[in-house]
Amino acid sequence: MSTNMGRAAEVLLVEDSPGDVRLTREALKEGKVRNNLSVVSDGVEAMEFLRREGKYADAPRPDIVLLDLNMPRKDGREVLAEMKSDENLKRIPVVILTTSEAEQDILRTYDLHANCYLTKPVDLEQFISIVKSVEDFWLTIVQLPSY
Amino acid sequence: MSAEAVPPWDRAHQLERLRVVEASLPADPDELRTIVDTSDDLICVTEIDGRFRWVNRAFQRRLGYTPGSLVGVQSFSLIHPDDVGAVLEAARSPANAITVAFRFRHADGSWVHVEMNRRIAYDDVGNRTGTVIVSRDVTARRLAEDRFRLLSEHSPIGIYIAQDREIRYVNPRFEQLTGFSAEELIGSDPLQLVLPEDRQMVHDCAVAMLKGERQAEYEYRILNRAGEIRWIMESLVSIEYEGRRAALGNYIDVTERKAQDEELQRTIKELARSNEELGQFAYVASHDLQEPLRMVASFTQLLGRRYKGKLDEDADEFIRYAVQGVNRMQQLINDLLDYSRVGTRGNPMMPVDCDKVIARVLDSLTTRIDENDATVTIGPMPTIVADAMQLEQLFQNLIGNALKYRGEAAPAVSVTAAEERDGWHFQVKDNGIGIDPAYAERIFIIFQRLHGKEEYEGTGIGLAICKKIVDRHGGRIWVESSPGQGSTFHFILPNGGTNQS
Repeated sequence: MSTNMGRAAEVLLVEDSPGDVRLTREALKEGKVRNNLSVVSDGVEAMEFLRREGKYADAPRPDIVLLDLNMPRKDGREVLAEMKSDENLKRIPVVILTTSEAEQDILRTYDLHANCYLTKPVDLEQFISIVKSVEDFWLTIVQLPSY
Repeated sequence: MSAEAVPPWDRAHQLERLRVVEASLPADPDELRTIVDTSDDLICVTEIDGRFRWVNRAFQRRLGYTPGSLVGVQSFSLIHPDDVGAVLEAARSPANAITVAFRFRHADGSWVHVEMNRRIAYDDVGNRTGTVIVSRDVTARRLAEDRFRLLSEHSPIGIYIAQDREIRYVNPRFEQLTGFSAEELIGSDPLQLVLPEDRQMVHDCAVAMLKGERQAEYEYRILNRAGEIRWIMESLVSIEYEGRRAALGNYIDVTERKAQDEELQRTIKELARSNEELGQFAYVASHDLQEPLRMVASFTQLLGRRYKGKLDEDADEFIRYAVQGVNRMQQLINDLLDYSRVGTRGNPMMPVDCDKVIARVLDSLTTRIDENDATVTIGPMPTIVADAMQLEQLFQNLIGNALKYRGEAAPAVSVTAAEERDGWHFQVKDNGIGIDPAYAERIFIIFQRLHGKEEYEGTGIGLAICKKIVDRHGGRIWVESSPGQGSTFHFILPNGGTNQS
């Protein structure tokens, strides 16, 4: 199955835990949407990637960003705030993917216009199904803005 | 009548004085009699041997005797036995005018305090003819003085009077509290006793209290004579003393109580701190443990998912055990997290309608109630002040347990509430397998289980959470049960109250 854009979906994962990167990769692999997964490990790199700066000059524009909240250098909250105040980036859907269940985190990220907030489940099956549902929802169901 | 020997020089002096006195008196004997009879003082004349020759009206009235009944009576028979010596001594004194205090017996047997001025009467040629005694009834004054003295001397409260910022009076207890004597204290500024850093506060409180702007006593430190710090609780009253404004101070030593208070406060603070720390520790530990555990669990599960049946039987078994262990650990950590959340992530206490709470619980248990063919009856429920989420969790766990530990018969669960002296008493009664009373206490301890994992699943956290919730609400929880007879879980939540907000 392909995306409703007729090409492989560009997914940017901002995640500092190699284990979670791998798990997300595996989960996307099991999904039905053809996708290219790019990974950066902190907020600074994420912004460079999104703005195609430095070594990311040729980076694709992501169709969706999966964003971890707790990262070194620049955390997910800052990335989210910068993206949502950037005319060029604010329309990219952002899914917060984190272990934090703290209510203040959830409220704050929605305040920052996160498109979706997901708590990483402790169970693999659940994780896979969550990644799949994100994929289904954002990459096949929702009509994303065309650029 | 035997004239007493009077020194000649004295007699001459007396004669001279009498003349002077007489010259200033009214000459008319009637006038004199009127003055004497209307006087409020007790006036009498006695013979040289001490018998009454004459008494005035005030004398009769004050002492309760009928007119004339005292004439010829020995005056000493009316004097208090303890005072006779002093009066005799005064009577024998060669000096003409003597003042002495003693007690006269009233006709009703009570004693009247008097202060006497004695004067010897002489005849025209200077021979002593008797004694003129003018006494004043000072009973009321003496009584007032006695009351004051007794109160002041035996008061457990230090008392002082200060005027113009100088101590005018201190009672014995005040001397004892400060270690300074009255002589040392009188004339000094009461603030001098106060520890310098407390002086401003004491001054402000004292001024406010004397103005009537402050009612509450205040506490401060003084340095006693031995150089020890003592805590004093003081109150001041504005009084009039010797015709001018003054402050009457009440001084109570609260050093011991203060020390106990401080010790108690320290202990409470320390307990609260260690409790808080423990709670945070459990929360952080279980929260942070989740992260690596999620990795172990996820990859073990991924391993199982991808390679089940592709390796040998041993590998499948190893993976199975690893997955089982990890799942169990996740469950334990989750439960530990739930448990620590009761203390660290509680919601504010607010009025909660128990009917609504239980309705939500039954809603979430619908499937299990149906599966078990159970009946759940709910009695009239009150509205109480509680953490709604935790109350829900409490009922959820107790009703859930009643369904879980069911007996042969279809589960019948009843939930009731009754108001009692110390709060609302709730009961969750079932007809399940029951509990050996020997374990009645243990079941509320975290991770304590009475059954094998194969029999009943769970980590043994449910009742520990119940207990923690009830504790947080300032109540208590217990069970009444015996094996095969069902169980009744009781808990009492204080009315509108909690020991922790």
